[in-house]
Amino acid sequence: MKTYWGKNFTRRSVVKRGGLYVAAAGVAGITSQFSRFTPEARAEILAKARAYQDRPVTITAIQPVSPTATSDDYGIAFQEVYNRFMDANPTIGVEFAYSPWAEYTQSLSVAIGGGNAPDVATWIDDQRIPSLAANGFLRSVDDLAAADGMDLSEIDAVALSSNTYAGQVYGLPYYWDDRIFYHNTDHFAEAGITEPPTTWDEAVAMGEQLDIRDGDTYSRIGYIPLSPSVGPGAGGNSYLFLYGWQNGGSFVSDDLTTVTVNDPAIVEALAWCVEVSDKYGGAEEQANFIAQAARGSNPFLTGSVSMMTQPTGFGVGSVEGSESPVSWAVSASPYNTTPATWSGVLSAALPVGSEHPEESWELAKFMASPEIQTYFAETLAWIPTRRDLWDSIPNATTDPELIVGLAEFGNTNIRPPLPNSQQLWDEILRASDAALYHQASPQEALDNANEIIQAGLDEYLTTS
Amino acid sequence: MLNALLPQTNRGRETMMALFFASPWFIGMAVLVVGPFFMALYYSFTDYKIMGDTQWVGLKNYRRLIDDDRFIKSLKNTAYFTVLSIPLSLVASLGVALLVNKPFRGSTLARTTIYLPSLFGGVFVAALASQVFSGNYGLANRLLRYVHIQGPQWLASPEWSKPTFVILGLWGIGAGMVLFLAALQSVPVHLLEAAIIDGANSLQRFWNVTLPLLSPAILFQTILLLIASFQVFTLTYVLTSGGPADSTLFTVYYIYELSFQRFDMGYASAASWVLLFFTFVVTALVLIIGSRYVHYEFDGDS
Repeated sequence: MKTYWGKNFTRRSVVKRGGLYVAAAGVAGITSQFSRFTPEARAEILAKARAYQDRPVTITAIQPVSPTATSDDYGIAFQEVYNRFMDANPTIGVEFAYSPWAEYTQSLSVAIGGGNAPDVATWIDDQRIPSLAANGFLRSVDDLAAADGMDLSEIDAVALSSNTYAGQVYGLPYYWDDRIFYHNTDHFAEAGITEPPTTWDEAVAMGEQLDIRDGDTYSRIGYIPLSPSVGPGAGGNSYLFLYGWQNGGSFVSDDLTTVTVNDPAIVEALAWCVEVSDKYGGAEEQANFIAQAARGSNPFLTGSVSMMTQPTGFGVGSVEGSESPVSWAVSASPYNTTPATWSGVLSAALPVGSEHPEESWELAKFMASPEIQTYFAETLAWIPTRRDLWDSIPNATTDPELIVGLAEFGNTNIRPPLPNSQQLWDEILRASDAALYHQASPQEALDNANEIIQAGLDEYLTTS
Repeated sequence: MLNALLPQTNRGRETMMALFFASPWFIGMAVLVVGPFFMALYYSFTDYKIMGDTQWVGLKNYRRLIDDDRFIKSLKNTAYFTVLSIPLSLVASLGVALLVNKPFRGSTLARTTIYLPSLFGGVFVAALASQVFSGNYGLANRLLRYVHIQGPQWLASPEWSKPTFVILGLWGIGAGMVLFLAALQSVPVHLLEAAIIDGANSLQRFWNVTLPLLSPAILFQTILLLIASFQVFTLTYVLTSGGPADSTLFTVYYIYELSFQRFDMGYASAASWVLLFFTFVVTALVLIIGSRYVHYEFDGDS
């Protein structure tokens, strides 16, 4: 096994890490109903923000969170970060610009293309960075880092690789997570199960023990690995990427030029997901189950699904923040041939056309600084991309999610940072849906996806 | 000085004033519609991706469309929606208009109630639909269970998602009802009285007198619905993102995907122009065929 960048990752695993997923993780995974800020603390942060006026330079920072939404811990935390930045930089003001996540890429690209770029995008996930960089929306920060003498190797190499396109760095990662396996401990106790599953076969077998059926209808499902892409699914925040890696598959060649989403190991993984889905009546019946069991929301939260893959923080945030929290515990994700999990990365990046690149760079750098990553860890339980800070995370040795999550980073993957990373994501989901709905076999669906993604990639390769 | 520039006749001054007051529309039309219209035509022959150099690629984007299975599928989905939704909407809005045409106690309230939903936007309809058509536990399937029918999975089913959209299209029949009400009110009473004298029953009067006189309104409404159905977007955007399994991938949503998720603006522009072409052709066909059957009471030759 060849090591890469001196970290505990193979070269293959590093290049596999890519693009996005905070689309899913950033919004679904880390969005919480559980407020870590008292109303007084919120009011104080907002009042302080209003007091910063008449700075010589004001930069606009855009993110899909809002400081004034009372349910949004992330928005108020970001406002506090900007307050601290303005304290440290008396000549720079930061204006908070909001765009909903669903329209974030659109807002950003249109603003940049229209010559009205925000100065800094402080919330871009690893799927979007390569695509935005390849299409000329982001500027490389290599020159700014070099001029500043910033040592980018202080940031985890894998997290940084998700921000790297064509050998250049386009963003500074300040947050990442990985996916771990949640189970309902009450359900386990009822069924007499004492240990969580470690393999796919165990997960499916335990799932069957945990199922509850009323006639033809399930009122509780033990485990479903993969759900259709539209709507909340019983499969949680997983997607085919996770299972492909857990079956030893690779989605793209090491040199990022050949798409291999129809790798036999990935086809086999999808076939397994379909097989389990069919056992529960198929994709349509699952949708019905979600509507019934969870009223359209996450069925793990309502105790309707016993086991589910989610990013770290799901337990303390979403489960504990729900009205009647279920009892839960975590473990490493079960796998088939290869222990593997999957990380999402959030970064601060500079759009092309930023009127104040130097000041914006200061903010991006500030967000990735030890001070702010520690603040995020303390207030939001976010995992720093600076590994040297991990020891300072509150409860790092006692919080079960963090214990499992941090240990699992040794097996983590990120989506390949392809220039057509959005297309890669879309086609993987489409192929999964086609197989789950039996519109195509897993092989046909992934062959088709492979052809489309490769054609998209070739366009970039031939023009670069 | 200014007076010297103005026309000296009253008619000329009126024309100038009319143009002056209409000028915001002309400016808006030029800047927001005509300009982008021709820019999109130009971009359809380029590899425009918002940023970077734009190269002329000739017909490449149009050739790509021919081989693009998803584009073809989006056209088929759009055609499916159009073919089903237009007749259904026409019949429903005309039927409702006939019901509330004659004054009765509460007829104004009934008309208002039926018209009201069409004032709400697509996002509102989508939010409502997500509850009504939510599997077995949405309102639709609950009601069906009362009559011992096991309803489908609606939006979660590739087979039923498009028909669900067609049903949702009925939400806006109030606007069509108003149009048909106006047309019904203008049907000359003497023609209906003459038919009664001739012994025509109510169905014969409707078929031979009312319906021919409604034909201009039917054609007009058909054209409106046709254009709207080719542009269906909001429901997909809010409810399904084109899924499940591309079953609600309509062409405008696909164009949106190409534009703002892939930044492939040149290609998206070509797709837009192909959609426009189909819209134009189908509209022209409907006008040509429809004009054979449309009866204008005072045109002297119908």
